[in-house]
Amino acid sequence: MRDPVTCPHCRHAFEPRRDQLGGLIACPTCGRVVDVPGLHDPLWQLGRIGIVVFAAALGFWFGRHEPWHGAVAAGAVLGLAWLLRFAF
Amino acid sequence: MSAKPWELSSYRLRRKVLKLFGASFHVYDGDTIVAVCKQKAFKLREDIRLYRDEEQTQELMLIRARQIVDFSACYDIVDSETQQKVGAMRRRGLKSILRDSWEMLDARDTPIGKVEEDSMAMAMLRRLLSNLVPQRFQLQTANGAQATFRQRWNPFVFSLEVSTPAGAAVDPRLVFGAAVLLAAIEGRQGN
Repeated sequence: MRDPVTCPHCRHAFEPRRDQLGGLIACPTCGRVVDVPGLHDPLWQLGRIGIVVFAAALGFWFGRHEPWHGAVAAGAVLGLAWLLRFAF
Repeated sequence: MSAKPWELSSYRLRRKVLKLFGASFHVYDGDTIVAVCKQKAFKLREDIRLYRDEEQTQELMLIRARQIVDFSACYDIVDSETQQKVGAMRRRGLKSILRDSWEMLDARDTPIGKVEEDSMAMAMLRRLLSNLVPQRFQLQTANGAQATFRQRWNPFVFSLEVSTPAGAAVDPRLVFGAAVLLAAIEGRQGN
């Protein structure tokens, strides 16, 4: 399930289609343009999978002796990736 | 004040030479510049903006890619003045390997037409001879041919002539957006 998008002009909330992610789409209510966050991109999808695998590997590596070290490392990677999505 | 480029029945897009970063086009009505197009450099996603003059005081149109990778990318076209989406152009990646092909979508992302190179034989010839054979595209909808995009033969400067017949059934802003994309995306491949 995708996050709903709120039109900045009429405040109508709607769920964009998967292929509309990252696009400039017309609000279904007022027709004005809405900037949809995210990316619908093969490279982006691949990158997301890569980030999760990398975070899991880092978590296992740092959590060998102290599990909370692993949790912090994995959490830091996932947190950075979450912040990175706002750059697009 | 001069007419907006899409209000003209024919106009010409010409790539600016000697531009270090990004790309820039001028849109001509005869010898008069009616719009300036700036393609932002160092952007992950293609971001093209059209202004009325070189000083960039009035933005006319914004074209932005949804994807980072150009292959089968979709480009949204927005009228900056009214803040309304005009439509979108989607590149048909696999088809374009042999013959450049784009799908034209309306404001609700419904396909309404396609822009294709004139013929498969000419498209193949162009791929073998690089930019020596100028490209020619046609916009086809259910109502027939709506616009023609003709590249002028010039191995050094990319120049594209656009003509729309009287009473065309497609939003002229969408035709203009398609011309800009052809010049920016396809024109880049030839150089």
